[in-house]
Amino acid sequence: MIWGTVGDEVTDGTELAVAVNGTVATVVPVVAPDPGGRRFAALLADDRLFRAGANRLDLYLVGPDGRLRQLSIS
Amino acid sequence: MTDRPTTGAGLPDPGAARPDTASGDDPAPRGSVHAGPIGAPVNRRRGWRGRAGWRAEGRRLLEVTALVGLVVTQPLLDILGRSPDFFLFHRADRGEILLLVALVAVVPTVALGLVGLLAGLAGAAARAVTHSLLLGLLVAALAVQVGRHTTPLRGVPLLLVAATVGAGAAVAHRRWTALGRALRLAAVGPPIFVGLFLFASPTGPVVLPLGDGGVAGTATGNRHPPVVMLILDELPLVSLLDAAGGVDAARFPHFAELAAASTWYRNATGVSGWTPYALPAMLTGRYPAEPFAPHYSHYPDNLFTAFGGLYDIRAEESITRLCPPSRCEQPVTPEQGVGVLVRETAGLLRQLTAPHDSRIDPEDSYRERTAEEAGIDAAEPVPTDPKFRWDSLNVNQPARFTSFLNGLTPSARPTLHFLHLLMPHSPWAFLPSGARYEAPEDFPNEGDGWVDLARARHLAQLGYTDRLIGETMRTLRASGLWDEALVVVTADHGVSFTKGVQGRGEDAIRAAADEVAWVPLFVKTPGQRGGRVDDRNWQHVDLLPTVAEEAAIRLPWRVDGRSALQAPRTDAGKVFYDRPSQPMPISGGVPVAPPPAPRTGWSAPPWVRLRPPAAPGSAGWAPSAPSIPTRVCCPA
Repeated sequence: MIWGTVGDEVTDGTELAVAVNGTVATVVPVVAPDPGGRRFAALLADDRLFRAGANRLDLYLVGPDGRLRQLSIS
Repeated sequence: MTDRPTTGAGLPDPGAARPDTASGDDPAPRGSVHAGPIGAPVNRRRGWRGRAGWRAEGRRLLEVTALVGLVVTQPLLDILGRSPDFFLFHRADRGEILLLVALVAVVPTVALGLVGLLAGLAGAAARAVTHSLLLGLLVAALAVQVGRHTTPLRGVPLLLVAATVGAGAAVAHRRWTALGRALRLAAVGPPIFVGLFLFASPTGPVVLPLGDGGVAGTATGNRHPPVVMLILDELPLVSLLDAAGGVDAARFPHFAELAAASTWYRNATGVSGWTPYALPAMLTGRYPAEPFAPHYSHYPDNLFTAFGGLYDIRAEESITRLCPPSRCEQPVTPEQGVGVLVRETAGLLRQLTAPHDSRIDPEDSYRERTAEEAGIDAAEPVPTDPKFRWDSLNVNQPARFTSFLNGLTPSARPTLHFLHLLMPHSPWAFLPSGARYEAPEDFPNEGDGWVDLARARHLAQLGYTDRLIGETMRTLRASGLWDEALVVVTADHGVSFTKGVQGRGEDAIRAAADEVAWVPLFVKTPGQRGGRVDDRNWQHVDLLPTVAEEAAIRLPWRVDGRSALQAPRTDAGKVFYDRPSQPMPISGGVPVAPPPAPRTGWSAPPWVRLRPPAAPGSAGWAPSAPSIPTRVCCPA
């Protein structure tokens, strides 16, 4: 399970691709702000995506044309 | 005594403003300063230690008691009094519940009283200020609760208003004696709240049971097979189905295996969306009539009392206690103790007093403890294999389930094996592999995106539940019980993941009865080899009559249900109870197809292969800590 918040410049419904170790595991929408902020969350239920030790997590903003732009994680 | 004695001011006027007095002291203590000559200095320390001083302290304590009662005791005991399942889930005994009540009703008052007394050591003025401060804070806390219920204010604005109200109340208390008098009268509240909790709330019978079970059933034959009943919780039938209406064997192979070896009653519906009503209906054969606690003193005639004369009973209940001590073995898993009650109650109090909205529900604490946490001997040690997260079934499986499996052994006497397992019930914490994860507690379950995530988490936990079903079947076959036993697997109710009507309430029942009411039901009779489907109109009050007839037991009370060994109902009508004694007609037959899988689901990720990102800034990921709060900022 991962979750986080995004800035106001990311509009509701924007899709985020969540990649683990170089493989997109799921695509989730950014939902309307709630008391917890402008949030997103994704369940990565297939733990074959992971390996023992450190794993790499990347987030991409999916554009209208399907192109991906990487997001920096702070 | 008075905190700030007037000197030579004459007799007090109770109705007048009293800028020079403090803490709600009445005319009597003020009058005490007149023991000496008018205008003479007053010995404050002697007054503090005297009888009048202690009377004043008593009055202050009464005022604090009243406010603590309104801010803490009443709201907490109200919620806990309506949640007997909270105590049953945590297996709290009478002593622990009474201790918790004492803690709730006494400790905060005593603590604040001590604060005041200690302040008195610094002098009468400090004592007076401290008392006013305490009253102001308590009134502010009360204002937060009231404001949250009656105004749209939340967060900082609500806190500011509450602080203003508290400050005003403190000033008013110092100026007018009437407020203090009213508060002291209100100090009778906490004992009343405790009395209501013990004698008038649904939780009352859990503390003070009324009886010890009803009449045993009588044998109608000599063949009493082992009976194995596994009752799951919050599992809609549609969650198991594939697009063709069968059990989705790819996602849930063990449920599919069970369906292929038993009778699948596809048109089975629960009786209520609330376990405290649904499970007693299943185990008594009667529709809910009263908002009783699911306790044997309210339901003295039930499965356990009927079977208790002929069968040994190995029961693992969760949020019910229908099996009376005289019929049931003691729980195998250790008690959880008063510590967890205090911890969860403190959490409730934090939610109650918060200036923002929060779903206050003791069910949030109903996470099944794992075998490892419960210290069950059979729990596997933590594996060292790097692939340990791929198969965490044994380590993480719920303790009740481990106990249930351990009890699935042949016995010379007929035995009823019963488990009510809060799976795949929320909180959702399991992946299909059995690995556990954490998630923020404040995630909404409704609204765009969130309801899909909730369903994905539900399905993931159902994937894990499927593995538990497989474990059960494997254990039954290994022990030789499978062929000869009557095996029942079902759920007490479902849950809606339909947007806008998520949950199990009345709206969900009306708009998505197929998700809330229809549940899986598989019954394997002794000797049954192959699977079959039965689409009769089954309602869960039929469960006990069916199981009893299969076990050759005559029930010594009238039931609303009918045995599946008898002719089916002739009408298709069904009823569901959001509240006892108020049946809601529901319509519809066997659910034909599940809603489309959510995009955030675990079964169909896009599996797009990417080049490894070259830009720095990606986060590491440790399998041992699969949840990381992440703040994401602007596009790179």
